[in-house]
Amino acid sequence: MANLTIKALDNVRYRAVCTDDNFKGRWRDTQAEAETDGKKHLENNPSHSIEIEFEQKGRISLQ
Amino acid sequence: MNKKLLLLFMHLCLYGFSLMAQKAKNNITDTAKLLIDSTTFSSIINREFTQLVNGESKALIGSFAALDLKDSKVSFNGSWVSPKLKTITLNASGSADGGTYAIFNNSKLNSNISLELKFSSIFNKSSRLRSYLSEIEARKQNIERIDSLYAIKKRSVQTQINFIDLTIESLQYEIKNIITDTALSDKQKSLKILEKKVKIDSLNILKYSDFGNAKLKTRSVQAEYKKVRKAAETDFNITGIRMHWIAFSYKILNKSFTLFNPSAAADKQTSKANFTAHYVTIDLNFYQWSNRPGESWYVQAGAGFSYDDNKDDLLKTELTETKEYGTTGNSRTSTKKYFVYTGDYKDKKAGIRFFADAYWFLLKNNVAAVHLFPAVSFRNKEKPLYSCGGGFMYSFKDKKDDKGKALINAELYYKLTDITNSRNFDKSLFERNEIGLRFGLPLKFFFND
Repeated sequence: MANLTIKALDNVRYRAVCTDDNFKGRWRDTQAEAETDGKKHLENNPSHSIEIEFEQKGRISLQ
Repeated sequence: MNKKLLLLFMHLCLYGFSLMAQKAKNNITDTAKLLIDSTTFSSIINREFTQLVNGESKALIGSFAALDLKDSKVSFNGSWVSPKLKTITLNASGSADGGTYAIFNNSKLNSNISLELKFSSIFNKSSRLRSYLSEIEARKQNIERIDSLYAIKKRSVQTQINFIDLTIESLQYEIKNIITDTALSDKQKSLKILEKKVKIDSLNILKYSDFGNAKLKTRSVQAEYKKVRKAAETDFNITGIRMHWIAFSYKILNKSFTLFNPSAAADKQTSKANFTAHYVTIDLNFYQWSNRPGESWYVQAGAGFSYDDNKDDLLKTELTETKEYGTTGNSRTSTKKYFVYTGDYKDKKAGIRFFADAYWFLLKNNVAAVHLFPAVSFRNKEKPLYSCGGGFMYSFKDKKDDKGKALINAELYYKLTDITNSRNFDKSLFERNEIGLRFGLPLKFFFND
């Protein structure tokens, strides 16, 4: 018989945000993905400044 | 000679393999830490939370205290911070006599003493951090530099030891060759062997001395690396932070003051009042800081339960008492000034108070703030007391601080003390007010330099 386990997980999600216009990237599961979003925005707007935003979220996982 | 070369080659191969294995192992754990993961995130939040709530140095986790003994008054502020994002603070103030601070005297709480115990716990979930992409990349490069430097230092220590070991082995091999060399006389052999043994001994001394003690040296390099690496993981400029926390506090306060009744007989006009009040408060705190003006705010909302008197409702005035000594024409007078409280004094009053404080920070470097603070109090058998205040705070650099880092937060405020006139004062709404200056914030808000 399979066991169903409920686990509370701490995880961080990431997104790129531009400080010079309204660009806000999607929330990503990895920092690398958010950095890629930011770098893509910089390619078209080289004078802009990009910030990476980190948010810690509690998550409940059923396993 | 071939055997000697083979031995050297085998040693170098084994050493090379062990280094490669170590490097591979290090890469697996260290690459993951280059990113800002949940653990690193919590460390940063913890550091900023500690600084915000206790105003202590950023990396300080543990217990710490501050004591101020001045003009027979003592104030003590001690904090204990756990790595699990919780802080406990003890504040005490009162009269000090010769450096002693008597909390109880003859089993009674000493006069004008105050003790407050506060417990704060952060809601780790939904905390936010923000930093420039360039800063994050610089952090990564710095960590990689520290890792490379450590690998070189570690290898250098190991190479020194390996060099000594290999030289000793080579000398021992040479001794064996000297023994079997038929071209040398016994005297020549003894001399050459002695020469080699002296070298071996001096190398062994070097190996087991501080310089050569591989374990000691490696441990010290490793300890230094761990310290520097850990600091580098959380060392980058933050451009924004958001966190929420809850705080519980209990405060006991002894009030000792003089009551004044102008309509009573002269010798009965003043009387001493002494009451010990208890307060329990719970508050929620929402905090957002940004390096950009207009994006920082702090909101605190809570409820406080009290067992108190109505000293704050009484009218405070300064009384001057004059005494005359001697006969008329040749007399001396002494005057004594002290504060007295006039009104209908009542103690042992249970009450509940709901309050909120909202700060919105403005201007470059967040040096100014608009403050709003409404409150409502309920006390048994009395009408609820509604109050609301607003203020403007500005941060000045402390003139006394040589480094120019310390700030004095001065707030000019206006407070409507009784909006619905529940205390039946014969004054209009805007006359029932309090205008004043307040110094300091309820937390150690950090500003940009």
